[in-house]
Amino acid sequence: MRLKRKNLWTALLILALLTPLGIWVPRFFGAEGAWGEWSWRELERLTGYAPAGLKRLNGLWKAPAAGYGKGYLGYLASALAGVLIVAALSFAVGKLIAGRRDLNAGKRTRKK
Amino acid sequence: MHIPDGYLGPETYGSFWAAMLALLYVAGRKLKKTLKASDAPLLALGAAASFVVMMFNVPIAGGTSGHATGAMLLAAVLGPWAAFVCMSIALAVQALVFGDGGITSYGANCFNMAFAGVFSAWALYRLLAGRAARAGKGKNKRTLFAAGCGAYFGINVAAFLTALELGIQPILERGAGGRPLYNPFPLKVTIPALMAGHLTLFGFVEVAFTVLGLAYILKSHPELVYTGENR
Repeated sequence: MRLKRKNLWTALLILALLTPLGIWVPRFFGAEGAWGEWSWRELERLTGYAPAGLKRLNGLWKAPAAGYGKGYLGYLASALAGVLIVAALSFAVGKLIAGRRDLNAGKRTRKK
Repeated sequence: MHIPDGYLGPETYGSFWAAMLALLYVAGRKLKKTLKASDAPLLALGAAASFVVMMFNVPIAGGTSGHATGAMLLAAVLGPWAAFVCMSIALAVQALVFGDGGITSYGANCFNMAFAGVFSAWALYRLLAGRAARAGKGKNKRTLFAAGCGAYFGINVAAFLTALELGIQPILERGAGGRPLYNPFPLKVTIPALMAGHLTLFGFVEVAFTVLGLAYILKSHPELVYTGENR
């Protein structure tokens, strides 16, 4: 299969390879993570208490690569794996939605 | 802007899940009429780009971090409905695989970033670009200016909605003794906390990503820019 728009895919790959900057830069400037995205433990440490409902729901889902893996390499691997998964899913959804149209609606576009 | 599990109570997350399912259904119906199977690689590219750009955390020195979302760029290329679906997929993978954003709060996160973020950016973009986005040659400056404004507007709308949803929790959901059950911060904390970063920095990161990305696409693949007829 020939890959169309190769330059755009290359640009995406370069961005993915640069993602470790996404944790290095905040560290360099001594910044924390995003506001309001703390786990209940972090929240408890910050404010002195974690609400009961928040605590209960907070650990609902154990993500296999929570926090995009460990360290710079983990982050990079997460970026590459994430790109593959997201691209594959979107491709499949795109085909799924368009599928029927290409079979019986192709004529419709040509008629115009 | 990715609300984790536990910050929204059932009334809020339930409503947003219902709204998102309805909106995704509408998106599917709309796209079924226009999307071509040959567009699928472009959807893949767009969704992956949104996923990657959200990994570039930008810090406010000594404060918190944030990131661009790619909402405007996706809308400018894929059209708003496809952009909405693509971002929803990226957000689903972030939540399920990487624990970025919760499962219960997925509906709200989708609504804020993928729906409101995309459509508010798109509305301003279309208003400012007028027919420039369709005309192509010679109108690129206006298109890029419109996309820049749309990008800034869209991400800030998304951030504001996030702040609202978080901030109403202490009003909506209280347990014994009147203590908040979910997000404990009131509106007067959530709005400044989220908006300060997005209005001053992350909004402009979104603008930079959008304008650079769209300028490159206008140069290398001008036919990809969404006109309302090509996708």
